Amino acid sequence: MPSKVKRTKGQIPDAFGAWFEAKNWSIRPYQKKMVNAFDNAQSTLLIAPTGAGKTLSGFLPSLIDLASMYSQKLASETVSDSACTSANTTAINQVKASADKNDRAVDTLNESNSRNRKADANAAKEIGLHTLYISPLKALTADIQRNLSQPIEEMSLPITVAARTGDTTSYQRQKQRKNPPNILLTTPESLMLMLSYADAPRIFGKLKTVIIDEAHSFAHSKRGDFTSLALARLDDIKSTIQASQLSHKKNIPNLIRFGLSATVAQPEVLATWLGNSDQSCRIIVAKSKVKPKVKILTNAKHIPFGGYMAKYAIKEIYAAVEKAKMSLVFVNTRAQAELIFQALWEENKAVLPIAIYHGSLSKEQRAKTEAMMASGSLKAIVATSALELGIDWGDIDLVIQVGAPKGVSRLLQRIGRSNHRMDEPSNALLVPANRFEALECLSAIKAIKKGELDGEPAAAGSLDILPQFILNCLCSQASDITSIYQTVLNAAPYSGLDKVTFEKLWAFTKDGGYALQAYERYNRLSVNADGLYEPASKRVIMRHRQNIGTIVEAGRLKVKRVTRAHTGKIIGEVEEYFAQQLVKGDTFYFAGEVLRFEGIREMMVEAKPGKAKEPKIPSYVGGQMPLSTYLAEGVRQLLNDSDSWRELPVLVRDWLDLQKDYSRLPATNRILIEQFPFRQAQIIMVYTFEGRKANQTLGMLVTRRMEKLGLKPLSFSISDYGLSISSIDVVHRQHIAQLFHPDILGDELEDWMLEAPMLKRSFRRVAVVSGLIEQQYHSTKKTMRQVTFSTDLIYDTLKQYDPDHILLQVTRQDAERELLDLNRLADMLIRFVDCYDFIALAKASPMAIPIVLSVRSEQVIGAGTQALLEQANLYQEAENMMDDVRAMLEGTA
Amino acid sequence: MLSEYQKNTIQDRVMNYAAIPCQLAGQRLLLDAAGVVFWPKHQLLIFSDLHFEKASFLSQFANPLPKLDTQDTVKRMLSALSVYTPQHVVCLGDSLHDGNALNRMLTSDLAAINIMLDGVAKWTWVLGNHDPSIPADIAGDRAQYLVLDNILLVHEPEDLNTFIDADAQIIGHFHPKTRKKLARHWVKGKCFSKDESKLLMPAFGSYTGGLDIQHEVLTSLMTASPECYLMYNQKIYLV
Repeated sequence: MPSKVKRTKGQIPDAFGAWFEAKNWSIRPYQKKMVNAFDNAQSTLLIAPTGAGKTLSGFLPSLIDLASMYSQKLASETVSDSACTSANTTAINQVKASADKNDRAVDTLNESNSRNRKADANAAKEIGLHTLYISPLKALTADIQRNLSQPIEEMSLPITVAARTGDTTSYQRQKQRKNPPNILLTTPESLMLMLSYADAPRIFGKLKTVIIDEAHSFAHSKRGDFTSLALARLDDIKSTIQASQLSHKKNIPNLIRFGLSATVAQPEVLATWLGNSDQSCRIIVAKSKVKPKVKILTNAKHIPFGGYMAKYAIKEIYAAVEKAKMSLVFVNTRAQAELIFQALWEENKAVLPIAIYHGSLSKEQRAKTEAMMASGSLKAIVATSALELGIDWGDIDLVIQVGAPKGVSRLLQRIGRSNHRMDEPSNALLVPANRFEALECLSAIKAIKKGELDGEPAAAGSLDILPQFILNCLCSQASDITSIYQTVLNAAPYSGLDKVTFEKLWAFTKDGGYALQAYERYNRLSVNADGLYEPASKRVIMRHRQNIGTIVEAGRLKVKRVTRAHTGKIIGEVEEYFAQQLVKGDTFYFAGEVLRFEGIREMMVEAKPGKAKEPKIPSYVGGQMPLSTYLAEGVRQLLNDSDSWRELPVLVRDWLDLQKDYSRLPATNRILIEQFPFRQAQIIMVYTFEGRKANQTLGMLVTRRMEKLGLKPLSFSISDYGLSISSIDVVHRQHIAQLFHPDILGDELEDWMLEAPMLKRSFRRVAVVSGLIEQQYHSTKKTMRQVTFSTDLIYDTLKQYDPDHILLQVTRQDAERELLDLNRLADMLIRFVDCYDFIALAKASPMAIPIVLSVRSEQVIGAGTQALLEQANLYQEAENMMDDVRAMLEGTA
Repeated sequence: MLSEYQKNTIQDRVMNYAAIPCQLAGQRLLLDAAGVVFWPKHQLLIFSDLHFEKASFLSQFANPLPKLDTQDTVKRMLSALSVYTPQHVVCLGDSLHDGNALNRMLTSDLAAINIMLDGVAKWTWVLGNHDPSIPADIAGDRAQYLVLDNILLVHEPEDLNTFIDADAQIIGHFHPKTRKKLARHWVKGKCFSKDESKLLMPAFGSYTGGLDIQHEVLTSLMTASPECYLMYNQKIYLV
């Protein structure tokens, strides 16, 4: 520990300045501003491109403050511990006098060292948990811990740092709870779990600051709401301690919140989220003067019309990887990751070390890859967004984005991964998966050149998290409705929550809140002797702790790679519906290997390593991001600006020309609708460019209308660009005005909201997050039944018998938020009233092909499917059936 | 002695795919899209696997589920009864989800069940693995099994050799369901599964799920290609 770390407000202490110099770094202005902000207890949002020393700026104030606190405490200890000093002197004298110099020296030095260590430990205990660091990814915490060890060790600071995530062992967790580290690195879910214990006030009572990393990834999501609530609870703990220590110190400042974020379009929105309800944070922006160099892959011989895999460009991607020093190959879905990884290895004649990384791989696999990346032993890594967030890994000089970027901000964040010197441009290569995507890529490039970004508006806090939060608080400490309500109001997204809704959510948390109750009510909350609410039983607490979080995955099964009769390692997970399609002997790619499906045993997929013939690739639900409005508009403009087509690959230009000849190009201020027969059905293809969510809603509403008009819709497929609807009957020009009239959003939407399958999907999420059903199932013990419950059944009965139930209200809110993009849709429908171009074709147009070939389609339950079932009905002749009926009825006479 | 009303109803329903006739061991039965079997010769209506009070059972394990299943199931039973107006009703087992179900049931639901029973001349509860006994609070007869003509009505499959008169059996227990691919769409739903000597009934209870007929338990039970009657959107088809 440097002898003294003296602090003057807002200034960098000498010891730190010296350390910067020794590393040949200059302290950046915004780093100084952060230290200033800390000293003025000013919560701040720092926006800086990656690699700009952002993480250090977040921690610098804490490190400085802690160093000075230690300095003070240790100084006071040595002053009072003169015995220790004299022991040291005696020891040294003894050493001089003795023959066994070394042994004695080591012994006594050890003794005085252990005294120092003890002094450090005592100081650490007194200082307690000073800084909490929250990141969205477990991997990030590991990385930050590595990074923090540098300044701490190099300056010999006695600051203690530990990480707490789902991967932390229970032994480590016990240790941390007993002696909290000065800096704790964690995830929102782990934080919430810690807050559910009775010792939360003791552990978090001394907290001074919270650092939220990658804040941009939180703000517009349920996870962001969740984190906001956790922060509000921390504030709560702080003020309760303050109240009880009024006599001790005056003016304990509020918790300081630091947010670290990549470039976003609307920093104010993010700042509001970061702050508490009273005031939003100050914003510091560290601008990058250099724009990244982004190119589209143009040298491919053939670009497909449809599909999302981009396999066609493998040779070119490989060539780029070979030329660069180290590349990051980003893909949008896990299925793509597996496929591209496999394909690259088939090209890999130079045997370059290429790895794969995505969230479904096991923790060990991921850790291995992370370590290899950090040590620079990889040439390229194929990754999904799991890698996107701020991990500082070696010297990446090329980022390859495979598949459309979906958003400018997102693309910039990914590009920011490469090259950590702010003054040099980063390099990126965009590889569109099909011709349509090429348009999107070009739009994105133009946007980057212009320096424009896309953003999303803030939304009110998601209601389904609240029952979970209420229970979480009560697990830690019994309380009443009003206190918890106050805490919730302090979380920015919930500042507008009305008391009635909160009370309904409270009632739900307590006992389900059902209008009709069995006389033996099941209570999750009970009232104690003081009239305060607490969890009704240990089982309630346990069940809650096992299910904390907002991420509702489609049911997943672990994958066990077996080498010999049911024994093997767990290497990751696949989605349940995928696993259930498999039959013994089927092969699939996983973690870069070909596996052969053996069966499902004890809720795990067992698979042996095998040779592939036609492997089915695991497909995952995650990773479907909608196109931002901005990019969509950009594509629309691009289509009408044939001059800019020069920048597109030749094949894409040809495709557009072909579209112009065969059908027509979507005009900027009109919506193009094509009609053609396709595979035993009739299709209308609607080019909206409004993004997946809006198109999905439109699909549901329009098919409802088609049903009413007797057109027998069968299904619809969507992409970001448009929507294709298949039906048994032909849709004619005269139907169009009716089908796309803005009043869809009135009548149809109400009806649909009441009946739709999509609402059930929302309900499933809501049911899990609010604690109605469990997502985590207990291991197979005989005494505990597996509770696999179909939420559809619950939804139906609630809707029929308890239509005012709070969960239905929450479902509607969730649907509006996650699925519908109503505003966008409304805008579109109104803008385009009477502005449709309808063209009937003999077959699918060049532009329609990518969408029409889309694998996922949304089925319509209605006359269309009935018609198909009737055709498939094996009871061939209607006459036979009636004969049978007659025979049946006569037999009774 | 079917009434004109019954005959017309049946013909209507068949015309509209709401019911479908079939034969089992020479007996002519009607399979209804609601998940019930009607045997015109005996004016018999068969329900299976009602699982009353399943939700309240599960909610004992910290699941705050709405306990509406019993009420909903009874409502749908009443609907089926009003369609077929049978003289005899058989419930093919697992009518109660567990031995303690009646202690948890709302008095209003219990009363509704008894009123429903009152409106039918004869009501038999066949006992199942979930309900090996049914408390006397519920009216009606109890039986381990029933044999009518040459058909055995029982909850779980039996060895027909031990029943001299029976050539086939109608059973519950398995909650069969299926999915069928039609023109690139998957259609899923509960179903009846039938071969020469067995008819498996779908589960009628509101919160009951299903077991896929491709599951090895069912493929080993049935002969090679059983007939599958899929129930979808209140219609029934032989697929």
